[in-house]
Amino acid sequence: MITAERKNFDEIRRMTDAHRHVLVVGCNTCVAVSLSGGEKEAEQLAAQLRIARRRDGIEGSVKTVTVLRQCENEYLDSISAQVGQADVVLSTACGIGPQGLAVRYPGKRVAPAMNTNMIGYVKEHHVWTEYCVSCGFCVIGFTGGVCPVARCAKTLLNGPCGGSQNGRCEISPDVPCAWQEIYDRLAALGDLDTLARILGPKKWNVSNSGGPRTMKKEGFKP
Amino acid sequence: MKDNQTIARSFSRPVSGDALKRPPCQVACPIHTDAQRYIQKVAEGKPAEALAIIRETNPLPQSIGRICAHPCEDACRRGDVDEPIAICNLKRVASDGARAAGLGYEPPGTEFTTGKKVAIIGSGPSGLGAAHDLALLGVEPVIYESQPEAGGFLRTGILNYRLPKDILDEDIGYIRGMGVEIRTGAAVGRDIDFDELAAEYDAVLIAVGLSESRSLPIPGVDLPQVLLAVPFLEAVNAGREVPELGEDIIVIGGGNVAIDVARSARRVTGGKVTMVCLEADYEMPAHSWEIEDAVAEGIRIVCSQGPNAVVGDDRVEGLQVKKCEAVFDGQGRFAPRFCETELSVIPGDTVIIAIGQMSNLSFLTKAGPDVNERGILIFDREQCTTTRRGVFASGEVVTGPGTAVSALASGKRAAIAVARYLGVRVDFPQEPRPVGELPASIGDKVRKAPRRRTPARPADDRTGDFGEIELGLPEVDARCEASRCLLCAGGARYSQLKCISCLTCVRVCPYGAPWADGDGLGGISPEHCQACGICFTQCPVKAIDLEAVSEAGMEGEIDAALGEASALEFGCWYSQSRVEPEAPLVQLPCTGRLSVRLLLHAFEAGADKVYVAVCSEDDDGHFIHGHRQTRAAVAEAQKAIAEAGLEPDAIELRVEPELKCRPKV
Amino acid sequence: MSGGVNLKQILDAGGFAVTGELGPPRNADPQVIIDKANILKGHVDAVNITDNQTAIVRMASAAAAKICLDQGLEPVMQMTCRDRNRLAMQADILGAAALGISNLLCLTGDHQSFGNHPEAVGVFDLDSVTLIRMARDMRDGPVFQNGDEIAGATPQLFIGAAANPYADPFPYRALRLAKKVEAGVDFVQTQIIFNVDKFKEFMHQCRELGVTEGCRILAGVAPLKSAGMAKYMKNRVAGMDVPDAVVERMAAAEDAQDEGIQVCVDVINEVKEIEGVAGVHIMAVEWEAAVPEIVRRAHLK
Repeated sequence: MITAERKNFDEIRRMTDAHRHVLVVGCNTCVAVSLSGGEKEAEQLAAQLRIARRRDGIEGSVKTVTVLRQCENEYLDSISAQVGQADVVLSTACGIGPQGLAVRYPGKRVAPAMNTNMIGYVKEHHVWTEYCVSCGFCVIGFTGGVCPVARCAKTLLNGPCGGSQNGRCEISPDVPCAWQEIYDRLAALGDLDTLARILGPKKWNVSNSGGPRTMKKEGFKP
Repeated sequence: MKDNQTIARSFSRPVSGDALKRPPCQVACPIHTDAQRYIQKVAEGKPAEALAIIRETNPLPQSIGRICAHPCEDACRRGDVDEPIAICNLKRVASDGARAAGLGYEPPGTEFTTGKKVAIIGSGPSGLGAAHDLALLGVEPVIYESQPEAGGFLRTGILNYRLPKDILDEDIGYIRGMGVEIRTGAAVGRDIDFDELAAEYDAVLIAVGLSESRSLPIPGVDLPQVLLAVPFLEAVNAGREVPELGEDIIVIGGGNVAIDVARSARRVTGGKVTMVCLEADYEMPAHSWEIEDAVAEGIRIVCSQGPNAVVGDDRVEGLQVKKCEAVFDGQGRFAPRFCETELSVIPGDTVIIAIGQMSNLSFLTKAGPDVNERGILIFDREQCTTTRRGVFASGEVVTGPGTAVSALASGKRAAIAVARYLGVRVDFPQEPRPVGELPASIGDKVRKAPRRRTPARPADDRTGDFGEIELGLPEVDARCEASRCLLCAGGARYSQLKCISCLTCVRVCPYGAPWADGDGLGGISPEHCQACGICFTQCPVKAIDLEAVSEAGMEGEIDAALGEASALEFGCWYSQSRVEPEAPLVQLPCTGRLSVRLLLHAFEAGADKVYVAVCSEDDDGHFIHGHRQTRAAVAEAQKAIAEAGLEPDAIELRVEPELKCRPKV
Repeated sequence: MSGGVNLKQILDAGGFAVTGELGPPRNADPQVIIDKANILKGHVDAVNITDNQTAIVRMASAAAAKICLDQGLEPVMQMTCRDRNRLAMQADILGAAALGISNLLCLTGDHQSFGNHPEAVGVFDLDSVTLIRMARDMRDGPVFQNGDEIAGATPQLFIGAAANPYADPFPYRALRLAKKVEAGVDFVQTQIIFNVDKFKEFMHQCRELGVTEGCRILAGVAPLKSAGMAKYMKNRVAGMDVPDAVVERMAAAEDAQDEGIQVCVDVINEVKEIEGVAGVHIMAVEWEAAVPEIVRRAHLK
């Protein structure tokens, strides 16, 4: 799931304080599942802003509305009345949220309440870890089900660097060495010969490095 | 347009069927009193509010609070943990506490807007219940009571030691206060002709109960020392001397009336009392607690013996009995089988027959309504109708012997039936479905806590008079007892539509109530749910609310409690001491139920200081992990208000200074 | 002429500077650079050494700049953000400075998809503006990008940047250049100018914003080799503005190369008169031989 973390409150205030009517728009899909920008969090943020703005004598209103997904125009359509009354629309969705709102509502100031960080795997409740960087060319089939692009700090494709120690990455003892995991899994599966093959160099042009991507599907169009 | 809405809400889909499940106590109650809600108010120390909840369904709260057979307690799931909640006692606590506070006894003003009048024959629980509800429905009831005072069997059949007359008077006074006229000493058939009554009123309700004792077709019953239960109890209740009453009394019967007769006889004579019944001890129809009390008072019970003959020529000298081998046949029907050869004599100078009652329908005329071949009114249970148009019936006259609360329920249903007949737009209530049994896994998790016993006068002290035996639970005990309630079906209500199957509830629930499979969240089992509220505080999309304490309700409570004050305390329903006595209090089942949103709401509502009480330093409060959640919410809210420019310690967590009980978890 | 001072001295003194461009080879042969340097030497004040120009792998710009310097021609080392992160860029700046290379032209760089390694990752750790600021701080701080002090010899940089008056949105172009000035740029070379009117408007905006006081602007010029090249640049190269008149002039010419040089000279003569233009940057890539003729005809030396 896409994970995001709420921005520093002061930063949010810098983007909104100058505006009289603020609409906080929650998103009830990814960021709700990752417990950061769903209806509950949006309302909490709105309450915080109301408290802060009242304290500082800022007139106006901070309202909140939540849609199922801010990455879909139809859902954004449904809040046109609320958006219409706002001077700035503060999205608690991933980075798509404020952009989707900007596309749908060209005359509206939008601002992000979140920093989008990753496509995360839920390790345990309240703990997410990055398992995919949407690089556009999956190599997991050759790496024992462990993505070295996302989970190796150097995105190495051909085995661990010299910094792998006791299963840990050189960047932090908290970070497991993806290549140790790859090795262990392939060893357990009896598939170590897979590792003899040289992988790469990676085609970064199919990732965001090749420029913004567009996906199109063939098939029925209404 | 509301501020908070998701477009998801604009589509409507039926909610989970579980939402209709109700606590078993409420379902078991013939009048479906919301025991859980009033128990909670007792726990909070708000008896008047509790009484108001009781009055929603119960027109005789004080009387029923003393004598109820409390089927609710038999159904109580706390019984699967240790012992059921003392629901009936708590009902009494509510009415006693409200009276002490001078609250809850002002009858509501009623207006007989329909212009219709109903004659009710009989002022027992059924007639009173019908009259009360009819008055609320805008129909004017007039009760005809043949006895000099109202109350029916509550007055004539139940003794003062169980139901003091002044308590009954208060209940009846309340109903009179609603504009219900009760004409006492007015016997239909003797003083007023039934057909005249039927002509004068828009409808008639027959609620005469079972006012006549059955006798026995055995030799010797004609002796003057052979008495019948009903007249005996009537005389005792009225304080009249009972002629021919000796000092060695044999009571025939094993039901609750027989017990009342025996205990009354013990009090009147101070002599020996022996009960004789067909049933084995475990089969006796009387309530177990009644039997225990009777035995404690020195009453001897002879089981499995059938009366064969009253012994004696001019005076009763004893009762010849024969061994009863079986009371019921294979289908459970009453069909006693005796050993005619195994005879014995129980000596005694008086016999009182308490084997059951029947109704007296002698007032009926040719115009009907009709009775069947057994002399019982022909009756439609659903519509409460008889064979005569405009004549309805309710209570034991049609249901047969039962409890007072059942008679009340019957009367309440009849009220609706009559009102509908008279054109009032009202529906019969839907029968609630009970939440399922408490899973063993949950029962194991709940901390055992014994039921608080209601203090009672000792047996050797109480048999000398008719003073009330039970003294009522002291307030602290009552609140502790109330806190044992498991809030069955009072917990999580989740919206399938809003739910995004994020699994948060599955992960945080200490009781394993939410369940999921590959398709997402399957539901939140009301059987497992203990209403701790942790899932509610954590659900990221507000798909979960609590039945017993909704978020909107909480916000309203915060607003109302805060008023013009600047500080607010959040405490537990069950807390008995305040961490900040000056601040207004908002109570929840446990402050673990407190969400960050609600904490922030307090500041938005104008608070500049919020105290949050916990009952201990432990992780668990009233519920498992309750305090862990309280602390997490407080920490998060402190951070939130600090970001907003307030002092973080504007939210302060404090441990309750004094704690008398903390039974659940 | 000593490395790194000539261009700076000319511009500081308010002189009219002429720079050229030299593309390093796609091999390891130093002679290519030596030959090109000798063509340009004496005709330009300094020469830009491109950095994997158009995302095609070439000899490292620092190495080529050193070879050029050794030939007595002052280099302007180009540096793009595409291929290096801030560590590598700072390392290269220190290395170049140690070799006597001080002119640093800070560029974002063409996207790798245009070049011959389209699958390569694009680094873009910094962009041109933050690269300028980093270079300025290395010189003036003197600190590394992280704020750590540079103890010992600090790079004495003369920091350049590019500006394109013909890219969109036009109103933002001068503002963006102002950001580069704020970040610490000393001189600027523009995109090749054929549409002089638009350049004049751009310069007007730059003057309004005070850009011309904060840095010296060298107008980019280039000789067209053919009418085909003119059409190609007009239609296919992003950020180029070749007016129809120029295309027609090239098409009408008998000697296209000579006409191309003359167009270039005409542009130089026009831009010289614009207030705030402090020189020209002649981009005769792979046609270095044209430079002396342009300089001669334009009376620049």
